[in-house]
Amino acid sequence: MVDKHENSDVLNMLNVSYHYQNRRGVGGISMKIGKGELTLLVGRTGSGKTTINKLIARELVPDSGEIILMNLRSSNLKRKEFALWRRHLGIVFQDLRLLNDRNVFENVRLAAECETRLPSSAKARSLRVLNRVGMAHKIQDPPSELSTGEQQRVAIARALVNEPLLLLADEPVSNLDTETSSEIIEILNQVSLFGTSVIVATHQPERFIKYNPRILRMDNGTLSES
Amino acid sequence: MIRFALTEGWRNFRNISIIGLLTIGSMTLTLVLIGLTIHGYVIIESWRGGLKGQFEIEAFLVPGTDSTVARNLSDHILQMEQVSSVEYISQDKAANRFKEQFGEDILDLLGKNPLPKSLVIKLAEDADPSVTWQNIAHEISAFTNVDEVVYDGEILAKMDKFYQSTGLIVGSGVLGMLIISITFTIMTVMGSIRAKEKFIQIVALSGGSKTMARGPFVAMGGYYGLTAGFMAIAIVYFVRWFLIVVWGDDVSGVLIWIPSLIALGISIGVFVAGWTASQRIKQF
Repeated sequence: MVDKHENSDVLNMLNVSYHYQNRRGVGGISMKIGKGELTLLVGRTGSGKTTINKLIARELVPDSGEIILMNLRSSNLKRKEFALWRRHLGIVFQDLRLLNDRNVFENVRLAAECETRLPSSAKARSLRVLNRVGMAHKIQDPPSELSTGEQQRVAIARALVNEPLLLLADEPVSNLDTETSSEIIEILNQVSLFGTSVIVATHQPERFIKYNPRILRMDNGTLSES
Repeated sequence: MIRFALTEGWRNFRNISIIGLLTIGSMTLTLVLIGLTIHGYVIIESWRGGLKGQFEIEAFLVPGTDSTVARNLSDHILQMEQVSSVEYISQDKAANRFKEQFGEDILDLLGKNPLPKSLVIKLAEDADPSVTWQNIAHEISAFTNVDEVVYDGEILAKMDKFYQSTGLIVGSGVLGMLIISITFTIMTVMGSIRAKEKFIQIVALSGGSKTMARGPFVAMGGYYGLTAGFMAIAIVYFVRWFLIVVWGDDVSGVLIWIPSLIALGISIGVFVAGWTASQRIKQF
């Protein structure tokens, strides 16, 4: 387990702004995420939570400001380093984006194969992480035959398979019942306790209160800490 | 990386769409056309070569040309690449040929021999196919001391014209089919890329490289080419078997080129799919 007092920053956002074509996405965002931190990005729909995640994942490029992920700086990141940047991240999409043309194991292995060129290593890591999220017994099932909670677990496993430094989860419990969402939150908390920083974009922070997360509030593209 | 591309490409290939079937169909037709064109070329060339050896061009010499000049001219014509033999026909020999042909002695008929001296030219069987009888006759008629060049022009010219027009039509057909099959391949790959948007996104956001995302589509193009290549080979062999049954003789020569249709199919598929993927997958 990680020592929470060991405060090495995994992510550092410095005055980051992004504008969509006809509206502001986020403006002047600055924040630091330490190793193993469980952080909630809280705000209403359209407040800029997803934009921050997309900026971190480099799906969007900031108009101004700088994002520093470990020792990589967004401002002087070369195109061929995008892959390296993203290998530090694990992403759980709001719509999960599981592939229905393959089973649970193959979904996770796909992400593993992006990081390693050794098939045996990808296989072992996929099995290990599926076991970690409690899905080892359903590796042969297609995602379409799983419950929403199980699909969420698979999406988390896929995001974790490359042992990222930072996990980004977009509304991971929004469509789940209380019991299932508690299980998912427990998994995310365990992930943070084992040293991976976790940023959860959510409009239901009360579900996480038990784990005493750091809460960052988004409102109309600006960030404040509570 | 290659194993990944082949596995994922196979997954794409398995989910074949109607447009995918059209791609295989058009690729097969293209390869069959190419195969049969090569096959037809080999057969026609063999016939043409035989015919060239049978036909003669006769160059009549200007009256008064002496035999030394005629023999020099004969040597000169013999040096032409397409010519296999030149026979000097003196006036006496011409009279003998007349007798053989018409059964009459020209001296008895006319009291003198007005037949001109000539050179009978035979063409080489392996002469350059792009050079026609007309070209050669025209070239010979330009020599000094050649009065007139005679050959069975109409048939030979028609044969040459037919050969050239057929080549043009078949060539256009192959080119047309190639364009159609390339278009279908592009459409199939584009459709597959659209359908696999999530896959590409997952690869991109999991730290995969551009090559990793494009590879499966390139491999898919290869699978299309491979399938089309096998089908084309089967059809070309069937046509060949049919021709042998009809003519009872194998005139097709060496067949080692037929399996290369597979390599050609794979090359077309891989190249076109690779180009399409490089144009459509840019989010890395």
